[in-house]
Amino acid sequence: MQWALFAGLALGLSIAGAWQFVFISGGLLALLLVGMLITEPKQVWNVVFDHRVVISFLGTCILVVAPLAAMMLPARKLAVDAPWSFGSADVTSVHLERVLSPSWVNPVWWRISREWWPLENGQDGVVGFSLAALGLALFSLFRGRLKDAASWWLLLFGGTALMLGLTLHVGGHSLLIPVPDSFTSWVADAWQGLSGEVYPGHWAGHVPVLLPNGFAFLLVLPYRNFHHYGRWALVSSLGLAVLAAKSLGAVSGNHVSWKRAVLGTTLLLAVLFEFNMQPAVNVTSTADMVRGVDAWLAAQPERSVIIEYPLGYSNSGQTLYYASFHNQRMVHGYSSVPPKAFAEVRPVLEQWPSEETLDLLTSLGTKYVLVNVFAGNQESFPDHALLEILAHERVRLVGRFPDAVGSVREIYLFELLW
Amino acid sequence: MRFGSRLGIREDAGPILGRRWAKHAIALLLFAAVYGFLTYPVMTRPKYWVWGRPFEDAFESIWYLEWYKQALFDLRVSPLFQPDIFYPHGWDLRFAILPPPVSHDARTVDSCARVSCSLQLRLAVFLRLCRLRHLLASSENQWKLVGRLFGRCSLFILPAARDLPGRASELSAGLNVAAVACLWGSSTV
Repeated sequence: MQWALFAGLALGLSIAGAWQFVFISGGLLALLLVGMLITEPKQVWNVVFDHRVVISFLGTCILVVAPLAAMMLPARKLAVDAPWSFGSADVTSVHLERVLSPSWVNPVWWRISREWWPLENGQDGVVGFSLAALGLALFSLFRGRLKDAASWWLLLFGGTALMLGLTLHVGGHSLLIPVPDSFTSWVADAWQGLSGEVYPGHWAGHVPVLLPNGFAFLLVLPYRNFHHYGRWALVSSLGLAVLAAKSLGAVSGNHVSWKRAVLGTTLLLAVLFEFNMQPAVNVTSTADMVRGVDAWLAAQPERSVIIEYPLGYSNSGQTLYYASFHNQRMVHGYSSVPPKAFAEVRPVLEQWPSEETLDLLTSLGTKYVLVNVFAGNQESFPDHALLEILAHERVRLVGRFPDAVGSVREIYLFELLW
Repeated sequence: MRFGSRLGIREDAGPILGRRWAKHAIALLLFAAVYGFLTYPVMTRPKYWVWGRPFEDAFESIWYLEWYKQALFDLRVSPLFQPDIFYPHGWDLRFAILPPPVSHDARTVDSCARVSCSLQLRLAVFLRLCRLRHLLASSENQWKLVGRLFGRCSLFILPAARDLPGRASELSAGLNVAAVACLWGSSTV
């Protein structure tokens, strides 16, 4: 009863909280259920068919979800805003070897995960398994306790399979299997029929190893809303933690108290060492985030519409932070799932400073354009990009702000003349 | 009834370290120390230091809290729609990440959005209090364990989930630490 209440609440909050948690919560429940069905079918039968449990679960779920669903569902349908193509989602797949990589938050391994073996977008989530805990979990296999822990192993492997993304990636690339051309053309037709996309040209003569997520992407439309598959580590880590705990329990059970304490302390320190974050390498002072251009915009008598280039840069966390200071209306923004209207015009916005882009910006009421200049481009910008921008009679240079934040060295502010 | 008994503390528990509440207090202090070490220097000036680089999501989290506050208390409008971002269509925050009712853990998100240890601390202490090993001792109790781990962990995760979804590593760390810690703790309780 209690677990059903909690599970319902968690699932409800997931739905209320974020679309992506719907899948994670649902996946976790399904994996647990399958695991329990394998190991304890009688108990599952008793629980699932206990009307009090079912009512508790559904009741809690509905109570939490209902208010939000009432707002959401009439407004839009699930996944209508999801712009992810198979290709863009596939690049967030976690490479197989990453599963056994050390934690990226540890400065000791910082260079491994950031320079020598750079993380791909979306992989951050996975590079956090404790190798000490994994070793401890594996130890349970040698203790002949597999049967006792089958559901947790299923949780670990199931979560890990989901975590790896759409197709199996090894060594930084999709693992491709060579197949006869006739088979490829059949796959390509099926692919186009299911995904609505053309079979990737660089896969010609090959097929990728589709993972469970890959099938889900092709067959379940709402699942195309999911991104960054490393998030499935939420499920894997649950299995890993419990397996480690069971294994440690078995190991320490026969020892006297002080030996258990020493063993526990040693393992705890090993795990903490893996996740050590000191000395902190990525702490930012808010004082260093102050920009002169924001103060200038905020001082204008009227609020205006602005856009900040390049969009690849302004589509990240700091763009919202700066909005609190300049208080202008922004054509751009930052969201994991951008609004459909923005996604549709983005290709044109990316062509800045073309005439087409200027027309679009004017039609959107844009008055100011901020252009960030990065280290490396600072010297060449005035002689090339700036001249190209000012070649348009509709654009006027307002000022140049030496706002150096991160890799940005200065910001040029332009006004669009209507 | 003596005062200690009313608080659920055994008066006849012997030396102070042998008492149940003292062991919980030791666990809390231990993890507070670890938390302090791992979050330095952010914990010393949470208003001025942010864990993360300028382009990372920590700064987005700060904006969220600022916007929620502004929408609810100053503008008196729904915080679920921001008309000035992605202008002119606006931004429907119901489809963004996490609406405000769940983001009650404002202080943590605001000051230490990237501090994984806050989650580790809370999970570890909480799971230790759950006496995981006791539950694991009997396979019949696995259902309880599932419910508690899934339900309660999720409840702990979700408040901090404003920044968590892409940071599953934090959860991995938290759970792994918790698993070891609660066994260590329960072996002496």
